[in-house]
Amino acid sequence: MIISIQIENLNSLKEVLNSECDRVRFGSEFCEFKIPSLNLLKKAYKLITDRGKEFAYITPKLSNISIRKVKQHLDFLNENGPINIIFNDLGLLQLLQKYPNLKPHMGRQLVYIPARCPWPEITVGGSISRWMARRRVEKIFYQTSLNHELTIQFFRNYKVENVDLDWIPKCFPHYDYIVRNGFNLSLHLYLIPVTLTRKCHMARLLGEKEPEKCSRPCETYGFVLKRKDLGIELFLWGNVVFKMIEPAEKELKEAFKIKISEFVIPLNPLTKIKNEKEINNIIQLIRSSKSKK
Amino acid sequence: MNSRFNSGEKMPRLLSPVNSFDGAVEVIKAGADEIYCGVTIPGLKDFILYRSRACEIPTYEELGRVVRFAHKHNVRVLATMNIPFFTKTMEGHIRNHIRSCLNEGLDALIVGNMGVLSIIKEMQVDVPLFASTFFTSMNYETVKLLEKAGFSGVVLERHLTIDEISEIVQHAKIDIEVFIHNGGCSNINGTCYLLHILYPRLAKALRDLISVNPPCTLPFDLDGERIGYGMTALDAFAFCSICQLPELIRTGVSGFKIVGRCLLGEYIAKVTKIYRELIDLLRDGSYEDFQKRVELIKAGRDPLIASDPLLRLTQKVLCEQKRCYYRPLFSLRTARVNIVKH
Repeated sequence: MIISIQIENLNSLKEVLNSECDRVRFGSEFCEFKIPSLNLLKKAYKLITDRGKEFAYITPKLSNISIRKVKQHLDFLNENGPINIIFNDLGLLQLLQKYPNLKPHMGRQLVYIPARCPWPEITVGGSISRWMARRRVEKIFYQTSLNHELTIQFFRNYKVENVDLDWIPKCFPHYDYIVRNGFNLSLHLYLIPVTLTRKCHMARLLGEKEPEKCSRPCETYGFVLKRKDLGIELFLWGNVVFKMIEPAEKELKEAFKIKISEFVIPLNPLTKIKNEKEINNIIQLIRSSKSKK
Repeated sequence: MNSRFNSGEKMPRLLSPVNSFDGAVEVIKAGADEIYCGVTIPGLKDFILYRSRACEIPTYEELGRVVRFAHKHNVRVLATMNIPFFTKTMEGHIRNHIRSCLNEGLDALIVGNMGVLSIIKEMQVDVPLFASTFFTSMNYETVKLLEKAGFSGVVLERHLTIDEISEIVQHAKIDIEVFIHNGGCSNINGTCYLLHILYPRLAKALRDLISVNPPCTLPFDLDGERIGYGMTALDAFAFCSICQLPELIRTGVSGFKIVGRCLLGEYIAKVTKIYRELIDLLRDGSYEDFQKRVELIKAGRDPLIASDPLLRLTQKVLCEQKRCYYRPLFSLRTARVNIVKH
């Protein structure tokens, strides 16, 4: 099992490199307009690998222009492979087939999980028929679109061996199926994407005019979205809305009952994990939970 | 801008949604080239997240009636496999469902998941397959992968610009379809989990808005570096493509799709008729007449729009708010004015 830190830029790289993490995931998971330049990517790659950390490159959903930009990045990374490329776009998976030194690693946006839904639970009602309906729905609600061997086989035919999933403890028993069918599992801690747009909500809210010229306010802050009547709290960060589940020790122990290959800790204004000490505290929590399982 | 529009351009098919036999009759009479529908999957009736069962044709018997009527009028019928994901638990139900739909004479299937695609191939089904918007096709490489996987058409993601659509069509060897009216989601369809119709508090909040809109239109309080109260921060939905029809036709797409499987057949028929007539004007090279008609629609004075109070009101409001499909990504300003600094 390895522990990764996911970052979009070099702002906190020094703290990350000083931490006890094994791998650094660099790149933009959700926004194509935050894809780094080739020069920045080269710089990040050098800094990370020079410090003996493993490098992985993460990418979002892509338009025609972005896929051409990422192609240049793949050309560079292929010369330095093997490297995991986390793809959230089927077009990039198609492109990755041409790069022998790059390992396609499926991003979580390509896995459908109904339980990402932010509204609590499934259905209500006290009658026996309602209760039975709820049981039937629960069987499906906590599964994922990879809970079928034919789907897994489809992606394996495209050389996919690794997949990103979310920290949703009720889904863990179903994640086990995916591992048993041959995928290596990476679990993202804290933030579960609830919805994603190309018409960036934060940018529109703050009056940004063009995506290409966005001042990227999301690099420094996000918003909490609240509605008392709905009983939920959501988090708006750039073009994504998340719900958040903090990893508890008890749930971490549950997670270790399935074979998890990678834990991913995201560093961004929502998780508020900023420095080496805070990163190491979480890494310690994960490692100690494993030893106590 | 569009004055150079020529007759003889390749015209896209007009696809309309239906959820009943009566709705299908109205929509076909209104001029749809093809219709598409969901059909209730018997073993999965309880699994409802986004649409109520009223959005689906309830039985295979009714689907059969729809298909027979449509075929009599040379209209193709496509069925969409309703669920964006597929698990072992669902396999038996989905296999039976596909078989039952095909037994009724369907012309094509719309598929939103690689697992469903795999079992369809295993079943050696001999109908064209269309990749649903759940695949979030936003670039020509994705279309290439879907073509290799066996699809003969792809429905593109809504969050694209006309130039992006055009480039995808230029690269594609298979049919490309786009949505044109209703339900232009604020978020990317295949990765949105906001809607859950069975959560009572959400249903109440939406009812209180007196709207049929999805949860992205709900107001929220915002807290962060800046704060705001009751802001529709997630509202960026598009609605209409009437003004962009000439440009969309020029992209070379094969199909224009109207959204609205949950809407009344009467409403869908009116929308279908409007688009049918506008497309036909462009087909005949009557660009001046097209423009005149568009201006009437925007002003709420078009006879079809004016005869329906709801249609007149919504079209006017949506035009004022510029809720147009395929516009620049940050062009909608739904919530900025109320925001205040700490």
